[in-house]
Order: sequence, then C-alpha cells, then structure tokens
Amino acid sequence: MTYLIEPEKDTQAEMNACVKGVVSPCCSTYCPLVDCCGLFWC
Amino acid sequence: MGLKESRYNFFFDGEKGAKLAFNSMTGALAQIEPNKWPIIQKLLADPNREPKNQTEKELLESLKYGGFLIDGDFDELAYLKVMNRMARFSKDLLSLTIAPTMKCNFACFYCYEVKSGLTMSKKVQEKIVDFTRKRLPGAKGLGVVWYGGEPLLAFSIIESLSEKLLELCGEGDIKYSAQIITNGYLLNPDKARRLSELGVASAQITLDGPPKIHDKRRVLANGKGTFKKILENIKTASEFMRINLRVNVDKTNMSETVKLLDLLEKEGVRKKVSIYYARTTMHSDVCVDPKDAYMSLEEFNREHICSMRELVKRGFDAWQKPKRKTNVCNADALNAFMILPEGKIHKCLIGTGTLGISCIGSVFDGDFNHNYNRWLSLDVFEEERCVNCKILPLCMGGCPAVSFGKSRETERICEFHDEDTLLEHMRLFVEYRVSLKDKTAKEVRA
Repeated sequence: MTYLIEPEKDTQAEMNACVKGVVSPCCSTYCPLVDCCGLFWC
Repeated sequence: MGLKESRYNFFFDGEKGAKLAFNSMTGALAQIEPNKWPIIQKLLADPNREPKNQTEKELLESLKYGGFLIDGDFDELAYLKVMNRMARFSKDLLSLTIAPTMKCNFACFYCYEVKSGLTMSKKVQEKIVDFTRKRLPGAKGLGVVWYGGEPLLAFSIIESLSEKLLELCGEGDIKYSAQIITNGYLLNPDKARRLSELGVASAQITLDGPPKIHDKRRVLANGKGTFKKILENIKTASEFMRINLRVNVDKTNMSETVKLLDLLEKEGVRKKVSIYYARTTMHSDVCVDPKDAYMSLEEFNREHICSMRELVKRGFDAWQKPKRKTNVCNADALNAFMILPEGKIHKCLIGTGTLGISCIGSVFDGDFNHNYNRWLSLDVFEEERCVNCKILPLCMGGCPAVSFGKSRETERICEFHDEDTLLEHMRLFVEYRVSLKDKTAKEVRA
C-alpha cells in the first residue's frame, strides 16, 4: 500500500488553523468568486 | 475500544489491476497492489482480529495511518460538525468582499449582475472603515476581495480604502490579505504594481477561449474585443501578483479551450497562471437567456475531466488535491460580508440583485436584519442526504443560496459532487503524478 497523497492529521491546533478557510469565499461552479476550480477543491 | 472502518472510504480501480483507496475525511490517496487487495478486504471486514503475519500487520498500520480504519469510538460526523461550527462561527478572520462600483466596461451576455451603475461615495467608504473597526477586535486577520462591476473603474476608491484598512490592521497587529476579481482590461503594469503595494496578492481574470471566441463573449460595452489587451496585462501583472485564470464555459466554447491553451503556451503564459474552468448558468433573470448553450452538470463534469486531463498533460498549474472543507463560503460564515457601493451588506454575491434574503443590512445600520440569522441557521447536518453522503467532508452541503431558491436552475447542488466525478479526478491525479515522475526522470537523464 503506497500513499500518493498523505493523510491530513488534525490536532486541535490544526483544527483552529482550518478556520482560515473562511477567508476564501469560494466555492462551487455556481460561485463567480475566486480560486474556484468548480468542484471539490478550494 | 477496537477499530472500525471509516464511513468516508472509497476503493476503486486504478491501472494494471491495482486498487486505489481514497478517504474524503483525511484526503489520503493510496495505491494498493493487486495481491494485497484481498488481504485489505479481510482487514476492513474484521479489523480487530490479530494480524496473522507481518504483511497483515503492516497493512493494518497503513490503513490506520490513512484514516481508512479508525478508533471504534471516533464519531467522524460529530468531528465534522465541530469543525464546521468552529469555522462558521469563528471571529478569527473578518472577510469582506467590497464592490467599489457596479459600473462595468464589459457587456458579457452571461453576466448575472443587476447593473445599478452606482459608485461608492466617500460617506459609504467611511462607514466601511467604521464597520471594519468595530468587527476587527479579536480577529487575527482581515481578508478583502475587491469585486464589482469592474473594480478597476473605481481604482482610487480601492487605493484609499486599502490604505485605511491596512492602517487599521497595523494598529492591531492583524494580518491583511487581499485579492481582486477583474476582467483584466484595465490592469496595466502601474495598477498591478500599486495593487501589489496595497496587499493584493492575486487577481482572478477571465478568458473565455481563443480571441475568436473570447471576443464574442467578453466584449467592451461598445462591442469591441478585449482578448489582446487582457493577455498583455496578464503577462505584466503576473510579475506582481498571482493570476488565477478563469475560463467560463458552455456548449459553445468548451471545445475551443484547447486553442486557448495553445495560445497561452505560445505566448509564454503557461507558468504565469493557474487555470480553471467554470460553468456558466442562469444565475439570475438578468442573464441573457441562451438556455441551449448552458451545459447540464452532468455534461460539465464529463467535459471538465477531459479538460483537466489536457491541462495536466500540458503542464499547466491546474490540478489540486481535494481538501476537506470546514464551511462552504462567506454566505454561511458569521464574520464574512459583501458590501455594495450604496453600503448594503449582503451574504451572497450572486443574490445581490435578485435574492431578497441576501441583503442583511447596511453599513449605515447599527445591526443586521433577520436575514442574517436565516443564513447562519442553515445547517447541513440537518439534511439527511448530506449526513449520509460520503463526500460531505469535501462539500459541506454546497451552495447555501440554493436553499433559498436563489437560482432559476432546479438541479440540486450536490448533483455535481457525485462520486464518479470525484473518483475520476483521483485517477487523474495518479496520471498527473506518473507524468511528473516521468518528466523528472527525463530531466535527470538529460
């Protein structure tokens, strides 16, 4: 079993850091805002 | 407590008989050799039995590492819920999308905006500074998106507001970041440099295909084409900021995007931009209505994969790994607002003209109206379909405005978050990784 993408492991501190996601106003194919490829990734 | 299988596991076919394993919670992607797959199936079915040999022991550890097997008492859904609440109701960041003007020098047929033609007054600008000052205490960062209309038509407002917002952040040791969404026509080197000085780190610019196509879709108000000037501006602006190149697609231009890539390569722009495709839809009643041209979600997903594959093949900066979302967008977050030139505060950009509930107040008001609570009380964890969906960590329910009937479109938002599309993207990543390896090996040999 070979990892091509490593798992993201959260600690409480990382969970707090995730809140940074709020700054990015994307995303969906509906949304005309930034950095949106249209599917799952921001 | 023993181990159990994660509810967010995907196992699917890779190349040459290999299996691929993806976990939407941890984002891990692993390749499983064909001879290991039967062992892994047994381990997943009964993770608490004693490993019979070293191979089983190692595979068990590997499954735990990727989050495919988790502690028996770990409630993944509860964890997602906490993450979601923390992100949505955090005050760590204040996010402002500011439209200094609703004027636009373009007349794109698919534009969803109601062109009020308003430009922000000094009074509104002052009120935005007051609004920001009031909401910044306790925040670690301020994120600003300049939007419009065409924001560069109100460049002096961007300059003066940026200076004031930067000053506010400086007083409180708060990190400032900014982006701009512009058609790119006015983004000359002087403006790009100045924006960069004002903390604007990236620009989203749209090209809808090669000149022949783009110049029919994204025209100046007088009908003239814009491609040549935008491309020149992208080249120079990329010296100062990151350029995210958006390509709005429908049935009429999707197949022509390859020609755009040819041109970008020829013009030396490939390494200067990140590129992505977005589907045009009937966002509002103000869109001119070429219904036949719009792609269904299914059509878009199919075409999008092909287009992504082409981008990856050509070495464009396009593929990104799927990331777990904590919340969807500004609309579902406590401390994120869009401000229009007249000072109205909205939650949803698309709904500014046509979705009444989008407006939550004004910078002239002391408080928000009841619409604010309606946005914030939306809860994906009350949706049975979402709670039972294996893609929930990557989607978090999709566009919140759909819940309020924002769009004329009747499709459910999650239809484009289908598993097949996701897995096809993961396969594409494997191809991408192999192509990168090949390229590196060739470079080393050379």
